[in-house]
Amino acid sequence: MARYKVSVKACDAESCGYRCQTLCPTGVFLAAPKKKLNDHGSRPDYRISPRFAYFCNGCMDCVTCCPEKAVTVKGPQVATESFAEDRT
Amino acid sequence: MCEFCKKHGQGNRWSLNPDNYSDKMMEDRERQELIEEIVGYGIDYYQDFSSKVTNLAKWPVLSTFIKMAVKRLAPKEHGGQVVSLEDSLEIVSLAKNFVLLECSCKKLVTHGEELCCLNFGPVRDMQKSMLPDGAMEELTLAEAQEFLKGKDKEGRIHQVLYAKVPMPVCVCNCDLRWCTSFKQRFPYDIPLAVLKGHDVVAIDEDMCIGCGGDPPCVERCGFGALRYDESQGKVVVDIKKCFGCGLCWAVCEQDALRVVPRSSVLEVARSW
Repeated sequence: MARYKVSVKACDAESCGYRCQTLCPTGVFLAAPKKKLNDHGSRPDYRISPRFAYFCNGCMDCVTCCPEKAVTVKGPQVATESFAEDRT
Repeated sequence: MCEFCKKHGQGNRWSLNPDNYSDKMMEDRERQELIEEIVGYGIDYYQDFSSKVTNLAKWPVLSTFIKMAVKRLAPKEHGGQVVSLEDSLEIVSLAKNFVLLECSCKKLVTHGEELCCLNFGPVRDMQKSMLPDGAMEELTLAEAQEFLKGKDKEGRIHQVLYAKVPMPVCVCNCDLRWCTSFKQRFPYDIPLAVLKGHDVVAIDEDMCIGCGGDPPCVERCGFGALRYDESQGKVVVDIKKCFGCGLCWAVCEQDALRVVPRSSVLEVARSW
């Protein structure tokens, strides 16, 4: 019943500043750790996963903002105003 | 009373039973290890894993098994329930050692940072010893209560989370945009990701004036339970959608919205 299929290719989210995550109005993307830590330190390696694609509303901001063109969204075309304009 | 109240409430709401806050709760080895694992290894790993599992419920036959597994395993681990501001204030009055930590959901889903998860009990000292450089802010009880009131004004949904039922460890102040508890509940209907609260809203039709067609209560409801009905000029509620978060009744200036126990409304008395 999810309306949109979102997929993300391997990318360097740290270098773009996690743009898709910051812009997505419905919180589709999860930063999933690449590995479990054995020590209690910080974990810099995350991959962007469209874990909650169920909530995608088709605004396409993620597709537009990705500098590596790593995000694709397939689904019904929705004419919505871009949420990117609301973000500073 | 939800299933947790029946077993662990002793006549009270489980999260308001003082016994569940006693130091004795930490004598449970499983609970101790669970909290150490979450604090130490990071809740991000936990959320990644659990959201992968709950997503499997999209497959027709597998969904039955996934839901059975969640129902059995979630209470032994980490899950939550929506609570009103009133209950949240009572919860913190029963707890101690308050510390604000970053909401991991906000970090993992929007890459934003905010200290909006109010932890208590064993968490503070574990966090200090395992992650001494991690972002945290210690609070007194009075500060914790002011904090909760402030988050309520902002429209955040309060959720009490347990580390192995029935010990509460935090009241998180959630936004539906990023809270992974709700993101695991809604797509394939898995109630134990986050249970509905013990209260629901009741509308006094005589007092409701509809606020000029743009009532603030409707805007505050993140669950879409309230709707402005043009023909009546009043707000109506779809009680099956109400989670009892209390954001609506806090903002009604007409005293038209009341809090009632979920168990008093037959239609949703057992709807968790």
